[in-house]
Amino acid sequence: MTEENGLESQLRKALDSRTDALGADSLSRLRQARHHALESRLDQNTWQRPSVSRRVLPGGALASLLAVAFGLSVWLDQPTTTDIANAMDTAPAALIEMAAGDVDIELLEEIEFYDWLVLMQDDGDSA
Amino acid sequence: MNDEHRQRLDRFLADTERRALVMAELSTHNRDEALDLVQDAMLAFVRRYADKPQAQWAPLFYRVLQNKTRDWGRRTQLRRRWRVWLQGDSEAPDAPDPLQALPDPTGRRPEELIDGDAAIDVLLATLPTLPERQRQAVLLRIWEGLDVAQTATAMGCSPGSVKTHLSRGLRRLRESLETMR
Repeated sequence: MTEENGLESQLRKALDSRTDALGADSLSRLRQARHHALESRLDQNTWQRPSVSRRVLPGGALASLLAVAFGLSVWLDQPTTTDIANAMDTAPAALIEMAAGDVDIELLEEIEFYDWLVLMQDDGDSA
Repeated sequence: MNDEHRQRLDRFLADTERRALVMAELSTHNRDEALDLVQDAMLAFVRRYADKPQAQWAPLFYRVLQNKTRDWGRRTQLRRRWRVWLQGDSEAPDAPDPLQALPDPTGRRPEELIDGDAAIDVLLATLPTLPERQRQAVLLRIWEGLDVAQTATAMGCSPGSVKTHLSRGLRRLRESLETMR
């Protein structure tokens, strides 16, 4: 055994003896610290998920921008009242009647509903 | 972090924590402060370096612990200066006796001159008195078993500095054994 190795082995022995002498309280605190550190890592992973969104964010922003642009283009291209009046002038009379007929059906449905409601209330009062 | 990675990290920390505590305690001379430092080091290590390759964990962990210990030392020194300034301090640190550093004239190795238990006591008493960098080099190279490059990473210095610190630290330890014969 060389001089250096002799000193080193004694040094290791000395330090190991100190490690072995650690009390249960210290070991328990070390264990708690370790678990706490590992748990914090799990929490950090949860918090890091937004970083994925950060990567997705530019794509989302672009999609939103495109949606707004599309909406604007639709809004700008929508027919004006003059366009509708012109279309009404040129449309066949049957089509206009069909369009008007839809309104009548809704109105009839509403009248039926209110009639039914009154009947139900009358039944409730008599009972 | 999947289960296997978590288990490997847990095993690494479990294997390292006790030595880390002893190292921190040699610097702070206080068990509670040392426990706090190791806890902080574990937290910072897991958060920053857990994704690094496992071979790099030990030097990186001790790098973190060393930084925490150094920060603690600075805070303590600052507090001490304030205390001295506020209360006054007549105590000055004792300078080492140069006679104690003289080599053994018989040429025998110091560790041969005293029995094992006494040598352990002497070494444990001398380690805290070593300059911080020398102690780190000794502990990381001899006890933790890091190679020179890993120790340099842990200490944040060049491999040449590690060798110098280690050589001086071992010499101081040998001299302390010699004085106890």
